[in-house]
Amino acid sequence: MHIPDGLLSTPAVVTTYLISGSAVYLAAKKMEKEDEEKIPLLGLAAAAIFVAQMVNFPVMAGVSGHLLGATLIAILFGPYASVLVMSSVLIIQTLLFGDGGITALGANILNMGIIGAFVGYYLYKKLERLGKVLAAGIAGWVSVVLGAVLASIEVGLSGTAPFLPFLKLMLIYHSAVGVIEGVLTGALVMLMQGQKEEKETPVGVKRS
Amino acid sequence: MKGKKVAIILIAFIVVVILISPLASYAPDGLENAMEAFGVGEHTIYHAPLSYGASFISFLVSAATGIAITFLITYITAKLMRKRRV
Repeated sequence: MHIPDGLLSTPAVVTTYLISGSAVYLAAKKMEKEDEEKIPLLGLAAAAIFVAQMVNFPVMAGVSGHLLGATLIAILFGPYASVLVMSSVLIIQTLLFGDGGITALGANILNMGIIGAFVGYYLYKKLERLGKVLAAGIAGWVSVVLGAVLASIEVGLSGTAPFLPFLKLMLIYHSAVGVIEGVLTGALVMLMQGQKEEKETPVGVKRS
Repeated sequence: MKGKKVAIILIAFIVVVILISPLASYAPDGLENAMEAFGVGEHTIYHAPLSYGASFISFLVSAATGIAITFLITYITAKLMRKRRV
């Protein structure tokens, strides 16, 4: 779901860079309170997301997809840490590997990082009473579908493709991609946290 | 959540992804399919120095490079952002 160069209009590029830049700045400020021992884990999480996004899995005939991972990282380390991790991954993918356009970097951080980190994390928290694995799975699926909706809005507003037909196709493909994201998010949360109540509160998030 | 356990699972996850990478799909992803359906093409304005590689060996080299750089950049950024608690 990495938007390449040439799809977004200048206003869309500027707006998405401003939104993502602000979110990354806020995330960086919140990192001031991060536990020292979690920092190597954030590096490892970023490396895992990087490699996971290199490998596409088939989702339907002629269509593939890859893990986003923002919701998973947000559940494990908090939404602000997730924004930082996803931004690092997406910047390296764009600048070193040409995966995603340089003009679309703001949009890609917004669609694949910020949405998954915040919407995914708070949805997971809302649904946690259903069980951690199910809540993580649903949050992972929603993060992919919302990212696809946002990408369609950006492309539609840029006048590159007709909004509703483009959105319809994106929803069909990414609803399927989201199932794999949901399954992997649920499975990894189960492996790392189990079903027990987590006492720890991630950085920058108020305990309710 | 124990840090050591999370680290082991993340490392195992990286190893598993690399091992199953030969089974990866090379079909276009959802966005590329939607772009193709509407005749939308990308206009490259920046040429990246590296690629993900076409063979398993070049994939391994790209993955190792990417993993090392991503780990270091994230680690250093997080470390710099964190203020030492008094």
